[in-house]
Amino acid sequence: MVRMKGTKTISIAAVVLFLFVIPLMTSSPYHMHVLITILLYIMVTASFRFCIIDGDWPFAHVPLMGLGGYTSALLVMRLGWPFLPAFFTGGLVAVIAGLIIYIPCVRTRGITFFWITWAFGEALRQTWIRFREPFGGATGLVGIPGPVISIPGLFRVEFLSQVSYYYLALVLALLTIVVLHRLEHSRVGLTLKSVGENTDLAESTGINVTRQRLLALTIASFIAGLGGSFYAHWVHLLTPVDFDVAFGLFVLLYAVVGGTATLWGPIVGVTAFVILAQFLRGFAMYVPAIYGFILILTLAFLPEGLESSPRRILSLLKKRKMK
Amino acid sequence: MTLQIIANGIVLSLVYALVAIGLTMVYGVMRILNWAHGEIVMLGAFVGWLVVVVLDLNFVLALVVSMLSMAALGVGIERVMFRPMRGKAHLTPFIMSMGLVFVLQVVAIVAFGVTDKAIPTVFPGMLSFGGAVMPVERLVLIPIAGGLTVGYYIFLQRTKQGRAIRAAAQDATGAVLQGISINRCALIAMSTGCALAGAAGVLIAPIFTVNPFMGTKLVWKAFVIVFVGGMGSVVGTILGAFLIGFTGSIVGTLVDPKWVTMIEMLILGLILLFRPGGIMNMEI
Repeated sequence: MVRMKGTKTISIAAVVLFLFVIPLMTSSPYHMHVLITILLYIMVTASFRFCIIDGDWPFAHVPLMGLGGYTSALLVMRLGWPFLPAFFTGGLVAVIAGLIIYIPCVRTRGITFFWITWAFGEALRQTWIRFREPFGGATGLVGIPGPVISIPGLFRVEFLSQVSYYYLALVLALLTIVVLHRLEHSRVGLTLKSVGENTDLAESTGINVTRQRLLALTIASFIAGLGGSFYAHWVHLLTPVDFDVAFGLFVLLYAVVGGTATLWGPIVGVTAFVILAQFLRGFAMYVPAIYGFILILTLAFLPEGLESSPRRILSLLKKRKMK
Repeated sequence: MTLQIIANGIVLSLVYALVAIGLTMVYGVMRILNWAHGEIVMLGAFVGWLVVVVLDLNFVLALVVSMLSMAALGVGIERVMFRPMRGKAHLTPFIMSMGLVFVLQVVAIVAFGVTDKAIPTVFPGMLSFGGAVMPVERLVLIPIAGGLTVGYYIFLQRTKQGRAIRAAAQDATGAVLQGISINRCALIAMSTGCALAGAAGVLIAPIFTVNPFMGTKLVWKAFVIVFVGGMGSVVGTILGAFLIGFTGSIVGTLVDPKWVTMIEMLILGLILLFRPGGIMNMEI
C-alpha cells in the first residue's frame, strides 16, 4: 500500500513538472490558448463539482463567474485598481452575490434548487444586458487590460505573451485542485458527502445541513469568481453571452460526463471536451447537438462518467477471468 | 390606459399559462422538470410558420398540426428518454432534457435556419374599445388560449383519465394500488402538455419573431410561473401565469420593460422565503 502511494505521488509530481515545462517545448499561441482554456475550465468545473458532493447543482455558478469577471474588470478600468486586489475582490463579490442568491434557495433541494439558482443566475446576467452603465449592456466591456503584478520598487510583471497567461492559469488551476482535494478529504468533505448521500440522516446526526451547503457554495463561488476574473483579463473582453445558459450547460456537461465521484472527473471531462472541440471546428453549428447526444448517451450507458471507465474495464476483465 | 394594461395582461397571462401548464403537469406526474419544454414551444411555432407561410394554409390548420406534431414529439421523448430512466437517479432524466435542448435547437437551425421568421398577420386590423387599442390578432388569442386552458382543466377535473393523472401526481404508489397505469398517465401528461406548448408556439408566432433560440427565455418565465404557483398544480400555474403576466403588463407599461425581470425575481424570492410551496402550497 505504501509503495503504491509513493508511486502515485511521484507520477503526479512528474505530471506537474511536465506541465510547467510545456512552454519550453511549444510556445505556439494556439497551443497555449487550448491549454489555458482547459485549465480555466477545470477551475470552474471542479468548483461546480465540489458542490455536487452534497447534492446541490448550483446553476448560478457560471453567472457568478461572470460577476467576478465584471467586478475585476470594472475595478481596474473605472477605479484604477491594481490587478491583484481587483482579482481577489472579484472572487469576494462572487461570494457575496452567491450568498444573496443561495441563502433563500437553500430551503429547496435537487431539481428545484437547480432551477431557482438558474433563474436567479439568469436574472443576474440580465442586469448586465439591460444596464449599459456600468456593465456595457449586450456589447459588454471592451479593452480590459491584462494583469500587471507589481510591488512598487521591487518588481513588475506584465503579461505580454500567452505563455505568461499559461503560467498564471496553471498556478491557479493547481491551487484549486489542491485546495479542493484537501477539503474533500477533510472533515468538511466527509460531512458534505454525508449530506449528499442522505440529507435527512445527516441532519438527524446533528449536522447543520444548511450551513454545510452554504459553505460548499461559498468556496465554489469564490473559485468561480477568480476564474471569471482571470478570464476577463485574459481575453480583454467581457460580454453577457460569455456566461449564458449554453456555457453553464457545458460546465455541467464536463462535470457529468467526466464523472462526479472524484476530482479526476472534471479534469478528464474538461480535457476530453476541449480537445474534442478543436476537432469539431468545422462543425460549429452541430457542436451543441453533438454535446447533447454525448450527454444523453453518457447518462444512459456510463452514468458514472468517463473517470469510471478504467474501473469498469477492470471489473469487466475480472469477470471474464472468473468465468 | 388601465383598460390597455388589463387587456395586455390577459393576453400575456393566457399565453404564459399555455406554456407553463405542460411543464407543471409533467413535473406533477413524472417529477421531471423538462428543460426542453421551451424548445417544444419553439418547434410548435416553426410548424405553425411552415403551415401558414410555406404551405399557405389556414391558421386553424396550423394550430391543429402543431398540437398534434408536438404531442407526437412528446410521446417520443417520454418513451425514449424519460421512461427508461424511471427507476434511476432522480436528476438523470432532467439532465438528459438539457442535452435535448441542444439537440432540438440544432435540429431547428438545420431545418429552418438561424434568421428570425415572421408570420404575417392572420387577423388584420385593430380593435379600439374604451381607450384601449388591441390588434385583433392578440384578441383572438384570448378565446383560443382561454378555451384550451379551461378545456384542459375540465379534462383534469371531470374525466376519469384526468382524475387518474391527478392521482398519479399526488401519490404514485397509491394510484398504482388503484389500478392506475403510471405509464399511461405519464404518456398522456407529456403528450397533452406538449400539445399545449405547441399551441402556445403557434399563437405566439405572429406576435414575436420565431427563431431557434426563443425557447430558453420562455422556459425561464414558465419555470418562474410554475414555481410561484406551486409545482404540479394546474390551478396554481394558471394563477401564477396571471400574476407574472400582469406584472409584465403593469411594470412594462407604467415603469420600464427593463425592470420586469427584476420584479419577477423579487416575486420569486418572496415566494421562496415565505411560501416555498408556491401559491397552492404544494410539497417542495
